[in-house]
Amino acid sequence: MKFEKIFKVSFIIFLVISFFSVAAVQAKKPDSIIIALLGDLTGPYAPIVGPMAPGTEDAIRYVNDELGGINGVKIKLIIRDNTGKAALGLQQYAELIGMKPKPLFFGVPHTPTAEALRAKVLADDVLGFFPSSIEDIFPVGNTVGFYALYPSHAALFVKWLKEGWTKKRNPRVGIITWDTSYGRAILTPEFYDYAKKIGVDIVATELFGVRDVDITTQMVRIRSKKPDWLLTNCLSLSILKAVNELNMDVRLANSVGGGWGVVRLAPELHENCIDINSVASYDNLDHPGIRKILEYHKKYKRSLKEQTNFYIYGWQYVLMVHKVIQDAVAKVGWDNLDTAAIKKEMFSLTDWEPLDGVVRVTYTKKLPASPWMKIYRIRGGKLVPAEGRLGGGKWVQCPDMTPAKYR
Amino acid sequence: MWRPCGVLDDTYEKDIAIIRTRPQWIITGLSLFSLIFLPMMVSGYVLTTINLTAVCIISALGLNVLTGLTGQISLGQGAFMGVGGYSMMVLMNHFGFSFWLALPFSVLNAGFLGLLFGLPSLRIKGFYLAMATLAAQFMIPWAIIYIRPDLTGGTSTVSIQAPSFFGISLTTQSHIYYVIMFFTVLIIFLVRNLARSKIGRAFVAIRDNDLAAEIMGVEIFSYKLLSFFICSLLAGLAGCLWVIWMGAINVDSFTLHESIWYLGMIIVGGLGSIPGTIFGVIFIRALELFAQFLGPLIASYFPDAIGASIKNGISPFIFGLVILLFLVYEPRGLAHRWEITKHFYRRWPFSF
Repeated sequence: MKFEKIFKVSFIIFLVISFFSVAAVQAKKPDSIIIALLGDLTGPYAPIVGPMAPGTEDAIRYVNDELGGINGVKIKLIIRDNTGKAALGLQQYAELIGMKPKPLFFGVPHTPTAEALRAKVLADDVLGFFPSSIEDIFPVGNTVGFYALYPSHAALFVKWLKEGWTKKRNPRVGIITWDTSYGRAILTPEFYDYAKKIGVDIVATELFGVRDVDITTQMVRIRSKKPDWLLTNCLSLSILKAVNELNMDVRLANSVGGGWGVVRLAPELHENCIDINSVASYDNLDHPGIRKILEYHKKYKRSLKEQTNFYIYGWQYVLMVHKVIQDAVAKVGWDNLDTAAIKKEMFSLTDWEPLDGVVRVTYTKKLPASPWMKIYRIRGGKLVPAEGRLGGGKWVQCPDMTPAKYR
Repeated sequence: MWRPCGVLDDTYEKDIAIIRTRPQWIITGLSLFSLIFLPMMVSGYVLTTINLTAVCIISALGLNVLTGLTGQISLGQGAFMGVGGYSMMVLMNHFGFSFWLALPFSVLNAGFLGLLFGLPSLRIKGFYLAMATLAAQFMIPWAIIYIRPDLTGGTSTVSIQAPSFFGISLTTQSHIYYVIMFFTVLIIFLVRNLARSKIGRAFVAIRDNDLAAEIMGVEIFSYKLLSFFICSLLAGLAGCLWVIWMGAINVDSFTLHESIWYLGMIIVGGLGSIPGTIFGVIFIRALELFAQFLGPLIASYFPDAIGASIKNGISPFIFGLVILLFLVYEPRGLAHRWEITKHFYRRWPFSF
């Protein structure tokens, strides 16, 4: 009887201690993890980067509803539209960083704003998910890129071109891009040196304004150099219209500025063009990750205009936040979770392929921009795997175009 | 000048004083004193916005000297800010100058370049002069991008080291606030005095009737050039402060769009008025922030495609509408409304 009484009292004490211990542990969990998206959602870059906002929103719904948040903690999103003005972006950043609790991550789909914020996110001890211009992510701080470095996209294309080239002379490439920090981001000495080294002649480099619709002057100059291919990273419609009007026998290779959003506007103009992309193709409906993304796209009544690569970058952003925080919590617990612990996990991502490989990500402390891309050929308005050893729909590693001073 | 009933000037010192009465002294003193403690009372967001507004006030005051006082028009204010900002960045990043040493050189550089673009004002005026200054708005960004991109960074954003003051690095918005606010108060004071000086009166004479001014002995060309110099000098100063506010510089920030906004600010505020310029800048900046909230709100009532267009166009639409309404209904700007309010208050309860 006495033993039974001791047992009962011990059991009750055990239950009480267990309850308070669990409560204490749970109390350390934050109510939510706040992330921010600050970028050009209605300005001149919006046709390219705008769909990142609905992509991020839908991915958060997926993580919170289907994955149960991050170990039960929901992700919350704050969006600010800087209309393409870096100064307004800084004001909005100051607003967000002054919040309590402040956002832990900042996705910034606007190159000039991201370049200006690179040092600030480091000083404010938050993390950035930025475009991949050199100034965005070097010197390495607290920011990682959406995809490979911009000049690396271009380098991958010339590598693919050279590998499939059968004529005796070198292939000739003319570059035409926007006269902005984003457009000129592909024009680095490392890229020109690489093209020369592998035997691809860059015969022309032309620039035009973001709002220019007629670029005949630049295209006439390019035509005189008789390029086999054109290379760009900006919206390709005005380029291809000029190609058509000038009866040029040349095709276009694009990267971030291309993709479904632009191809849909004029599929016949894009026929046989090349797209260097860091996401799986929407046209591959057998891909389980793409099916999941399209399910959410449909569920939340997103328009066709929003079905672009930046919609998937929104997913990549949220899934990365989910992954790195979950990994950090598994190692240090909620108690010791800080930016340093999350950053450590972020820079350890190696060949990470969320949703069965809608993207493939590897970040290192030397190169905080994932080098994995895919090469697509545009046929009938669809992005299908390009031919050749580097095509075939597989992930290929871009040549490293990290500037010498940051290597 | 209007003054409260019963305030009489019995000495020349009193007659030329900017601050005339004891309540005015108290209000000015308290205002300046409160400026010291402002960073401790507001959030980082508000402080960032205040800093940007103060920088814009300096630039708009410069434009007000040229357009409001002298009657000359400039569509290159944004570009001259760029000259100041880029000069400072180059001096600091490539020649090792400190902020304080780079500041006067950069400001003077902008001033002299403005003077150069003011030269056509001898022969042309009105719309033609506007076109000449528009050339500055195209040529300067072009020069920044193409002539020495190794120094300027071309179209890329270039970071700049935070200035330091007696060993304290001015990295935060609250630190930078004191630098910006010091210059803003100083420039308001100087421009206020300029308007009342011989130079200011010559500017006004040129604005009102340049032929009559010349007949009276005002050297029109010199004064026009001086006006351009002051305007660009202040734009250059604003550009330098803008750079330390931003911590980085990008040529996209000094576009024709910005220059037109500055013109809009002084029109809304009231041409030639210093309080009006300040009100105009605050009003337009607030309007811009208001549009950020209003756009998505209106857009939510429309289908996706139309909604996106509304969000995209709401800011320039509101800006255009406000300018239009001010030109039609209150061409003398917010400054005139302010004077009416002051008169009503001073005469109350005998307002007539």
